[in-house]
Amino acid sequence: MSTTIAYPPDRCTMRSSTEKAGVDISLKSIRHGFMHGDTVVHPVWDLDLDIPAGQFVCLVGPSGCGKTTLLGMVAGLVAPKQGKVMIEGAQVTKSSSESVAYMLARDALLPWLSAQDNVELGLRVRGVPKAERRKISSEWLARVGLADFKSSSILRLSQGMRQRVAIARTLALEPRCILMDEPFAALDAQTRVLVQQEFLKLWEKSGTTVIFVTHDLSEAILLGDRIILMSSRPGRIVSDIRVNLPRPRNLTAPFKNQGFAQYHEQLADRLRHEVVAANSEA
Amino acid sequence: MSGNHFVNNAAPVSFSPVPSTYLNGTSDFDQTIIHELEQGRRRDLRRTIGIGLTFLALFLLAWHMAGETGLVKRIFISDPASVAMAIWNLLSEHNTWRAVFATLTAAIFGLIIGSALGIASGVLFARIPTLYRAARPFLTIFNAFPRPAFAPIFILWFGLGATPKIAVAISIVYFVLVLNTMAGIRSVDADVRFLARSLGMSEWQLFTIVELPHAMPTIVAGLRLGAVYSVLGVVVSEIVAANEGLGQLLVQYTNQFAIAESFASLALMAAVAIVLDSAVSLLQKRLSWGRPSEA
Repeated sequence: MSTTIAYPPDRCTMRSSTEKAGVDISLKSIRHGFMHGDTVVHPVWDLDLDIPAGQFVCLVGPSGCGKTTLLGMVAGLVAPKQGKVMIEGAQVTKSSSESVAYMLARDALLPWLSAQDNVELGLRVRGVPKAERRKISSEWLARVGLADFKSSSILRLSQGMRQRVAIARTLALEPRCILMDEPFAALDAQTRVLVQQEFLKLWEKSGTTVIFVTHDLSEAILLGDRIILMSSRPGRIVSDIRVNLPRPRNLTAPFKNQGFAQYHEQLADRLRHEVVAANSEA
Repeated sequence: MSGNHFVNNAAPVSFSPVPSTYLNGTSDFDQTIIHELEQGRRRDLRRTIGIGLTFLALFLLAWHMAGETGLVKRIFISDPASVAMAIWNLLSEHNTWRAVFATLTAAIFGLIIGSALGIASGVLFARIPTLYRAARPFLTIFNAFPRPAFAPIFILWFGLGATPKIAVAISIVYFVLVLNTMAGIRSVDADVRFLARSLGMSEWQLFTIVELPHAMPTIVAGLRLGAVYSVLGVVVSEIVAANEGLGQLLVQYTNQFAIAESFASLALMAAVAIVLDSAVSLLQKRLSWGRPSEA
């Protein structure tokens, strides 16, 4: 069962931006299923979720509870068997995903292209002319601190640098919604904090809607405006919690954020409960 | 879209820049490390060449001594000096060059046609799994034939010119390239495919931007194998029957029991294969990405 919460006015409306950067996302009575081996599994079952524009939502839950499936649906890559996915009131289709950008745990960079060509990948797919692509990608490489590495081979960059290139590739598309599937999970602990911090600074200016999947409860509390805890299969929303820690948040010392401990306490038991339930299945 | 909303605030953003010296060491300290590495490489190269030359010398000596001591009759193995002379003599004959030319051109045609067909089918099979499943039994059966054994039939069909040799070469090269092309395209990472879809790539874009460049090193590795196999196919076909070519040259010399000239002909065949392989390896340097690999 999910609890409904009245949300305060959104950060992006307060941000006196000329246009609304983020998008509203709404999932209505979603049911989904697919064959896994010789059984049908239900990664998502009767799920309703409304995300106002500009919100940073973290999806937390045991493996296999449909978090990645939900991201795929918002991206228009997975069509739900039942129910509707809407962005700004319009139903999501395969070709309507221009406003959405996806980021994965592994950087998925193309090793035969330079760092700059990798940043331009999405722009190239969208047919942006070469000169403009160069300009945008140069700006983005500078913004993620890699101005000197435009022509570097990906194979010569460190993990942290590669993930920065992936961030630049994602943001160069000027997405109005970013879908992130454990984007920092493959980084070592110290690099992860740095990249999280840097990403948050970029995001705080942007007002973009973010849906962020993670297994790491602390990460969810530190980054998110709202945490959706999902149950083991079939995936449903177990709790829906607003995180009211003030920003900017202290990512290097989580417990220095007033209230972090309470959120952690509140969620850790429920998450553990769901993970145990997931593991005792099958 | 009106301006990038990630940067509508003019304040500078925040990723601490990585200095360019991260990669190119210019300090004395770095130079010493680079120098040590290069020294180590040069030492390894010297040793490699040294060991190689030693082996060669031992081999030639053993060959020479085997004949000298009467361990094996010279009439069967000749000796290094005579073979060297025979190569020299052959190279001064117009006939030899015609044979080299015939073998080389046939091998080139076999390689080009065979790999073009092989790459094209490999791409189709990798992209259309149903087509591959349908074609698979036929491919398995065709691949099970010892292809050089087609030579007599092809000669029957096409005569004693270049066509049957090329056909034999194609029948071998084709499969190498089908398998390598498929393996290359299929090994595209699942995450990369997912990303490509999320960026909205069309099938054509997926093929040209991701799959083909990803598969290129595997395809070119297949081309190098194909180069050597193409010469093999051509020579076998020539040995069965042909107007001209190194295979025929070999048959003529062995029939005359001219053992030094026979070995010399073998050496020329190897030379043709090496020329073709080197040409492809130049291509490999241009088209391959990734860390420099062995061989």
